[in-house]
Amino acid sequence: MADIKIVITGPFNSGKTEFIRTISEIGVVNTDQPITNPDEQVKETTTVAIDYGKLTLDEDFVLYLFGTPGQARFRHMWEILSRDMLGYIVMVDSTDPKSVEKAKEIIRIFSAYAPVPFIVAANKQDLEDAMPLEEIKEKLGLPPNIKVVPCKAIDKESVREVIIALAQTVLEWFEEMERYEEGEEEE
Amino acid sequence: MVTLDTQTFTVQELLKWLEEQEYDAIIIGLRRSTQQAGLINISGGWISLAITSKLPQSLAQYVIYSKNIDTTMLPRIIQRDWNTNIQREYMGYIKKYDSEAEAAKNYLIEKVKVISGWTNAKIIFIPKNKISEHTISNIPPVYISEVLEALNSNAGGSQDVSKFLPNEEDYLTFSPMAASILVKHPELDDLSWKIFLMVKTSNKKVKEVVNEIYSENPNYTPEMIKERIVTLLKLGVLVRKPASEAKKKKKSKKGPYSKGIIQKFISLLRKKI
Repeated sequence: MADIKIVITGPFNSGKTEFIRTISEIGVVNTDQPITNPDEQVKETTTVAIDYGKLTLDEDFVLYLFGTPGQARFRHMWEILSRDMLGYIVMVDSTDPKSVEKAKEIIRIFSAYAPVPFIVAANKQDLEDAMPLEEIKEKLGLPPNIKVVPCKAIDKESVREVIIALAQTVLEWFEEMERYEEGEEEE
Repeated sequence: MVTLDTQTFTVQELLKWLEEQEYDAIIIGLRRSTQQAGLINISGGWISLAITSKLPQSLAQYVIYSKNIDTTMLPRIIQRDWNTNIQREYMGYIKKYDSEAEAAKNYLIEKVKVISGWTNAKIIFIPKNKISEHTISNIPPVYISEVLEALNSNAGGSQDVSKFLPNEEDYLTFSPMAASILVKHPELDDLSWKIFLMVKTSNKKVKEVVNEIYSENPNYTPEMIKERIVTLLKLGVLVRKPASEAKKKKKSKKGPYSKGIIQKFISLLRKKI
């Protein structure tokens, strides 16, 4: 039996809840509340605790997805959520430069807690005014080994590809660690 | 050099002295007033904490200067709410030691160690009345660059710097508080973050880090990248992992996952969706 835990984080309105809803087999347990901050009133509700989704892959494999609130005031929850996760996905709204700027801050704070690799999912890549992936990567100031992958949070196959990209990144990380450990043992 | 019980010195001088003595934290009993609580200064990766007035006098008189403690850790270092659990915990210390002063000392030292994540932290404890309240003066908003400059100009030049120079074949790792230091210091720019994130999410040799960052960002020359790695080593953001030391360590933990599990997970995802 293997439980796979993945955390989805990212700025306000980047599509985290939608991402989980698209792939989850259960109705997403979400805690959206009406928005109280007038600066953020571009949608009617926002997540105040966590989103939770689940996908049973076979009798032994269950994927659990946890979405964290994007707002900085919920940072205290990130440390708890990051325990035992396979990796995390940082979602950004590709059409919103402010979203990318906020994602940069989230990556920097989240990286303090998370001991595992992450990728960036550039949501809304299907829209005309979406920024190219290279531009997003540059604006986020990411090193070469961190992937920015295209995403359409309302499309099941796109969500699957993002999760696979994260899993492959973790595999590469494991292989690097093995290479390092084997190399040291040979000396 | 700072002499703790005789002269007036600035916080910057104190921090420089602590760096020279290779301390991770100092706990000083100098407060008469317990009105001030919380974070009072961040300086060169050090943070200063004054303890809340809700606590017993035996604890509330202390100020802690500690390396790399994050502001989010403040409520945990000494609970702002002096709740029943914490009171019970502290009572255990009072029972264990001969005096309340001794209990307070050990309680604070243990708390600082636990919160900072350093079981081997070197902590100096200066009891009450050893230095006067106004001995430490002139608390400045010092940035890392200024502290580094001061350290470099007082540390005997290149000989001191050489201990931070990594071998190109060395691996790098990071300190538990690395991201917190970077977050607090916006003057450490994108290059520092690129290096830190790469070290955090991969296992690469120094030369691989330099080459890979340079290949994708030719505006940063290999010399600039190496220089920044040295700066991050000096600040304690990064830590050298020479092969000889790495050999002694156990295999790294990868959490509850294995390569086999992840490969099967990918294959099942493809089948299911």
